[in-house]
Amino acid sequence: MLDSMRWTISPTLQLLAGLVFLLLPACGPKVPALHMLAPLPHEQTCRIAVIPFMNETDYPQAGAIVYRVFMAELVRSGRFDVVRQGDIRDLFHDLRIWPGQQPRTEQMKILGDRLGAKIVITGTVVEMTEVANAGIVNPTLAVSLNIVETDPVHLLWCTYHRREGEQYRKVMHFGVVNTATSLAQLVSQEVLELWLKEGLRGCAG
Amino acid sequence: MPVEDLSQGPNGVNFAVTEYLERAIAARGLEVVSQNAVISFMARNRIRWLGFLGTYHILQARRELGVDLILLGTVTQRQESPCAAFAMVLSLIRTSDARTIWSDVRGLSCNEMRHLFGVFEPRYSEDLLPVVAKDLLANWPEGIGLSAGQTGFFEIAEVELRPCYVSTGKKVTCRIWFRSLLDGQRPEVSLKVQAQNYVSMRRTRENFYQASWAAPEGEGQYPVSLILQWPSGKKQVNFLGTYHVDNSPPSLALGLKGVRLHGAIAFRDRIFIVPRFLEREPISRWEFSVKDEEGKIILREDRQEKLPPRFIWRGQCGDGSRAPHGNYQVILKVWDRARNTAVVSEKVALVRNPPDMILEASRQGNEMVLDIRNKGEVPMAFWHLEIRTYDGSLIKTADGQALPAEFEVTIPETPVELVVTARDILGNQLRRKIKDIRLLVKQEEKKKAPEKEWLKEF
Repeated sequence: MLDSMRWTISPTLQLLAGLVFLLLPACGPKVPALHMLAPLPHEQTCRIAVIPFMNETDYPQAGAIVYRVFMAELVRSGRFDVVRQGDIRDLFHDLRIWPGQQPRTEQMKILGDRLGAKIVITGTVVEMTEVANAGIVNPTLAVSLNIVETDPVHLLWCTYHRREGEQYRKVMHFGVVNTATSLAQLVSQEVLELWLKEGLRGCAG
Repeated sequence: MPVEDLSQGPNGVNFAVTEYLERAIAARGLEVVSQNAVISFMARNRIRWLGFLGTYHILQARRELGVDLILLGTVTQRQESPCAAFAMVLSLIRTSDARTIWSDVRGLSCNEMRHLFGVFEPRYSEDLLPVVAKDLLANWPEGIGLSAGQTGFFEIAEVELRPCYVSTGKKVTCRIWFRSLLDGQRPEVSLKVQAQNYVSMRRTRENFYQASWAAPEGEGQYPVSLILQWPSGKKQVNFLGTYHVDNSPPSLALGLKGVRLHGAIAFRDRIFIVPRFLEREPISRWEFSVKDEEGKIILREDRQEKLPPRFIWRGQCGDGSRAPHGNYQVILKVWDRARNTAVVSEKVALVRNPPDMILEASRQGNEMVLDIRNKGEVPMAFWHLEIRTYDGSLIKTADGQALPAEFEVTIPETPVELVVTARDILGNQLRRKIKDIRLLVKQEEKKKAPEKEWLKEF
């Protein structure tokens, strides 16, 4: 009886089922976790300052890598006037905020005012690894990004996003992300996409 | 600009990638400033970092090097194993308005470059560089407007608002250094303090302004903003910071652990002095001192730092010598951030003498009654008494914590020794040996015996 049933599924159907199985997306959350603690300012937030990210990982320069990539993606979105890192560095120096430190409430207000940015993005790289298996590298990246209003100073949005290179696999090896930088780019794009979808308006928004 | 290489650490530079990009950009028909000129510009302007620039330096580069665009690059990844990988971020800045007009990221691994039969597959990161650079420069923006409206620039280089905490009437000073690339007229520079008052800033040197004012009466936090007013009517307001007016001295008490004797805390070798704030407040300076009974300071320590959780005085003077037995006063003076002071003191007694005990004996037939009493003021922690023969045989022992105490012992026929050990609650110890306890009885009898001879003085 079982044998007869097995033969009722045609080989073509079996092949199709196999392809569908291969196309199944990898497990794990794909949308960043966003917590909206307070609404964004009503007016357009054209000018944005991104302060250097903290690195809580053992990966060397993880904070600087993700920071550079996130800044580039913010510029690439074409919606924001991004405050130059050099201006932020000069102001950090003036306010005596040393590397690895985060600005205090009053310093955040001064930052926003002097840089002309109503909102400031702060970030922490929580996890960054590149695990190699048989010559294939699977990068992992987890970031926590916050949107902070500078006048008055309060936290508006908190975002957490974790991704692995393997999660982008489409068919066979296609789509797999092999470098931490490429993964940082995709993670940045996904976070910005969600923010824009949820109401973050830039100059062109 | 030379390309930053994060794979070499925070100050890494990659001249090979820089040269490659120079050639690639020149091939697009753009005139590229030589590396020597760029490095010379960086040295002149004390630019000791790569990968980013501030507005001032961008405008300075336009002025000194005559450049319309600045390309900043960062190598974010460059590794050879387990599989070669190379990643880079490029940013293009338009110097006329100091804006980043284009930016892109590209990361590539050898796993993404698999060819049929493995022919011409890249093995090293330098094999990936041309592919990454080509991909990035393929997105190079077309039709860049090089002559965007040049904006005036009057940047605050440094602000000093001192002191941050002040008491009423004391002087508050604000100093500002500007970095000016503005060719037009200078703005009028003033400060808005205490929300309503405007203080005009005095220009003392080129691009250096200063103003001072007296702190107001009311306690609280006062914001200070900078106002730049150009003759054209343009106005710029920047929040500089706040200062706090504080007229309340710190409120604290001293906690000392020990035995209180006649109003002073007694100790033998060291005493813990714990400052306790009744209202928590940061301290900018403290002074700990010890005075003897004559009011002379025997020890003093002064630090401009936060208050330690406790002080330990080991009964020594400032020169390290041991302070003599007696009463002292420990004094703690603290300054808060607005230089308001508070002084607290406590009396202490340094007791280094061993316990003072009285041992008396009286005869009752063949028995001898020993009476032990504490003559000193410090209570006993314990006492122990042993009576032994000269050959070491134990005849009797007694011990306890409370005094006075008495016990009986049969008067021996041969000499026996008595050893008394005692310790007071401060830790001072006593050990006394009496070679023949029969002498104690004889001494007592001698004291009690009536005078046999007539005394003329009587």
